[in-house]
Amino acid sequence: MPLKDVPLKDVPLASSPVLADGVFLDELFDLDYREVSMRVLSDPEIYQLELDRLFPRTWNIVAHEDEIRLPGDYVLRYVGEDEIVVSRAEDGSITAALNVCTHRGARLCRYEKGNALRFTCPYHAWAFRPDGRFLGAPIAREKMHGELRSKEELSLQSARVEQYAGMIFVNFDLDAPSLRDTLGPMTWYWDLMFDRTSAGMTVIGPPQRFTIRANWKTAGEQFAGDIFHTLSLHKSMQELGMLSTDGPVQEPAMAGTSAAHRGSFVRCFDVEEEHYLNALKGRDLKSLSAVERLRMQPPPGMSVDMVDQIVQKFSPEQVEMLAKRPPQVGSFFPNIGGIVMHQPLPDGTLGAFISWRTWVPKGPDRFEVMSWTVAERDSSPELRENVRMFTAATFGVSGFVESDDSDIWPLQQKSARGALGRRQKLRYQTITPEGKPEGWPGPGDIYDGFPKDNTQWAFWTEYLGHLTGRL
Amino acid sequence: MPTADTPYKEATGRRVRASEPLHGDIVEHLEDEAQLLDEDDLMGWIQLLAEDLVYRAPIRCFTERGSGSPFDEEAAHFEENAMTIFLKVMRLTQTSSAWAENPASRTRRIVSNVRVHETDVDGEYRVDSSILLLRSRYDDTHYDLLSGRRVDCLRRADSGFRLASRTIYFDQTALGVSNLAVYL
Ligand code: FES
Ligand SMILES: [Fe+2]
Repeated sequence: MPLKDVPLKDVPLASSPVLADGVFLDELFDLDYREVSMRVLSDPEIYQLELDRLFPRTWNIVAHEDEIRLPGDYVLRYVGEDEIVVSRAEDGSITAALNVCTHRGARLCRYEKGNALRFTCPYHAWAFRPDGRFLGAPIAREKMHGELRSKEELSLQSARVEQYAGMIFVNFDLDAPSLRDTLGPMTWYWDLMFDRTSAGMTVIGPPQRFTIRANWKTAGEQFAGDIFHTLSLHKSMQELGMLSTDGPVQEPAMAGTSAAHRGSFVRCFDVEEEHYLNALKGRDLKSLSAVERLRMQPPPGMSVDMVDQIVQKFSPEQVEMLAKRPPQVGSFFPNIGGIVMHQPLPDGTLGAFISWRTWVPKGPDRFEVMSWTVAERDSSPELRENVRMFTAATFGVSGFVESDDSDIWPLQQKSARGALGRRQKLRYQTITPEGKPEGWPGPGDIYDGFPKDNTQWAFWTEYLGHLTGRL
Repeated sequence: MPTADTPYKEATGRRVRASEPLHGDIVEHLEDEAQLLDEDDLMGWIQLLAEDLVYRAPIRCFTERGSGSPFDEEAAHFEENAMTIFLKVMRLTQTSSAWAENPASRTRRIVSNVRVHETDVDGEYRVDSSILLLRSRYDDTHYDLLSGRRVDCLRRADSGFRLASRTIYFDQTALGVSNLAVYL
């Protein structure tokens, strides 16, 4: 008789899950008032639903291709709480397989990175190819893997692998739409952040990892569009004069346009209104062409000599966008973020910070930030050094920006533990009507002006869709 | 005999014995420094930093025994110079909204196993020490705990010493802390 742990692909999804106290998951979302019960942050049952229904069925970012350059190179990464081996095969292709031995479930590969063309399980020495194929058990004459299951059946569970801008994404759902289709219109913007040159971007070492004592969705919903928190949570930067308050818009970083698609988000900052880039401060930008502007101040992590590549690679509309309203921060549903920004420094120079990151769940009230620093492959040593230093100085465990976020997320989590607190709501009630500014060339759902709650609310409706099986 | 996994180059200069007065001076300096940081006297602490300071913590991976240093040469949890440290200290001390440390957390630094070696540069000493940081926030009974080995370059100054470089080799690969808005 087959075991009762239904394969993930067969878990029935066509209904709203019922929680132990009889509440339907649906009932924790008030679609009219745009409110989410804080129970979604702390409930272990909901967390388990996410592990079953969300992470194995969405695209997870796991590595940069340059982390595994040579045949046999591998790294260990996560999909939800499941550990996977991401490897470079002999033919150059990239594979990903669950790091759970099919014999009795030992952790097969025990090193975070290395080079191997076969993994032998330390427990009873069953052997596998990095792509998951079962090679055999020792002492063949004793038939140590029996005859009931074929070798095929004893392979490690493998994932689909796709790449975007040098990053490797995996999905355990064989029926899910492709990564490209999932990103959909967002690549029009994200290309301007992470796919700007012919050589593309490389990664600076292994990802930084640190643990935040909060639910992963505290970071997930924030990165889906909470630009507004900059004014308060990151006010210290304003106090230090690191965010300009010049120009007609008094609130720095608030002028711009958001683009969204299916719970994913990107923010295009209006550099004309803000003058927050020191190099452009005081210049009459309106009289300059897009290319002139880009030459005067290339995008973060780029040098003047790379600007020609931008012109060759992108449509005139995209070049214009990069010069006037560069996309700088965004998220891919459900748990991936990207940042490409400048930080004006007290000595008048600019620091650049460029990062891909994911919030890896580690329980209802814990997640790990895994953050890759990336730089243009063709960047000069100085430019690379700038990106390396300032990505760590701003974002990441000791970053002066992110350390305030990572203090507030555990406090939201604390709120969600109390009997009264978990019945409180996350509210998304300030809404911009959808509307493109005149001549806006980019695709997606567009919200112009002061950032409001639309895109974060879209994160939650997408989330609910996945957990209830409507998506 | 260090293995190939030894993440840091061993000191090559003459060992300054614990019985020598210089060793005592350096231990006192490290203890005074820890005291300043424990008491949240960041302005006092930056007085102890050299202008050409490098303060860094490389990223570590768990790798097969014998496969070389587990630390990455480039990727770092942080890598500060005097300017970025100053900026961060200004943020923590001069603004009202550096929330990561407002209210301040309570920290305790246990510094021990201090070993001192002379270097090729006169008046510069290589100082290795073990560090254990305990950090308590709000009324949470959980401690942020971080342990590691520090490899410092201390430079003799008019009064006492200045920290010219500090590399912190953390024991954890994934740091078990929400943030590091404190120094160690
Ligand atoms: S558990 Fe892996 S060989 Fe037995
Ligand atoms: Fe933030």
